[in-house]
Amino acid sequence: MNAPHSSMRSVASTLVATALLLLVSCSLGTQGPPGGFVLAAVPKGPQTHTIVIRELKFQPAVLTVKVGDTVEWKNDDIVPHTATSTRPKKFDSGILPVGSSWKYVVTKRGTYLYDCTLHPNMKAELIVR
Amino acid sequence: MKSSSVLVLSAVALLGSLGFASECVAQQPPSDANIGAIVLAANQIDIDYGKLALTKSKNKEVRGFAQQMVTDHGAVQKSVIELAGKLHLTPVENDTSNSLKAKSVEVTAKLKSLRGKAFDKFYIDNEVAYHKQVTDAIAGVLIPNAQNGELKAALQGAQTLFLGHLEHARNVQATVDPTAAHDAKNPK
Repeated sequence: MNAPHSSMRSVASTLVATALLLLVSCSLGTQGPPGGFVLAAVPKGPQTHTIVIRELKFQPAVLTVKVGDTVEWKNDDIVPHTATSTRPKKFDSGILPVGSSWKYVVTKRGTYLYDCTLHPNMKAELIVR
Repeated sequence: MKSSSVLVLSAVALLGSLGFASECVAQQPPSDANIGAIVLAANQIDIDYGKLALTKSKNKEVRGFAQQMVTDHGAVQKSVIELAGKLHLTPVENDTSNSLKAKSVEVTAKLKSLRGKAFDKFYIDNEVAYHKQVTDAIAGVLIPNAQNGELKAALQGAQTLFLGHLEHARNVQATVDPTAAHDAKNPK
């Protein structure tokens, strides 16, 4: 006798709970337009990419970025290094002491081969699209 | 049996190429304690050459390289001492470390006797030769004989660093003595 009634109630309360959850997730989940779902990612502005120097390696050894992005080289090794483009010659960090970092805003498309002038066997590549 | 005697022979040949005393004929493969002493000696020698160059040279490239040798080999020296402590490895002097030191006494005397461009040329030529000899010995003798895994890994790291120094030294050599530029670009 009570069974149909109670199941109706539980369906109803489930619906209400779901609606509430959706409302909450709408208002909390994004900073998008009020009441609207944000389905596509908003195009991002210039980004910062970090290249870590450790154990005599640039990591990652090949990095692809966009014009306007910032590339940061961080020296986490036990000796000083540089990040110096060799072909074409475009950027040079100068000597980066242990624990320091250097930022460079890329302005021109191309493929830049760079190395450490102090240890020229450390080679890497920056691709700007 | 056969392969071990080949190893010993090649070890002797490589050690011989470091300019070791000719009486050291019956070379034993170096122990980890010997390797520790060899690396410490090799580092210290290059730190001392660098310090001397900083007091004598006026050449910007040479001074920059010398400062780098003091800094880099100093950092390696520190990590070698730390590793030896961690592994309870007491460096044991041996024919190789002793003859490295003996040879460095001669080179230091020569460096002290020179000035100006002659000093710069002798210093950088010696740095190229020294890093070549040391990296050959690390690859051919020290790494193959290192027993402890951490010591072997540390040697491999040092090898990458020293090969970087060798390449940089050749670049500096080419600026100090343009006639050496061809050799620098085409090593061997």
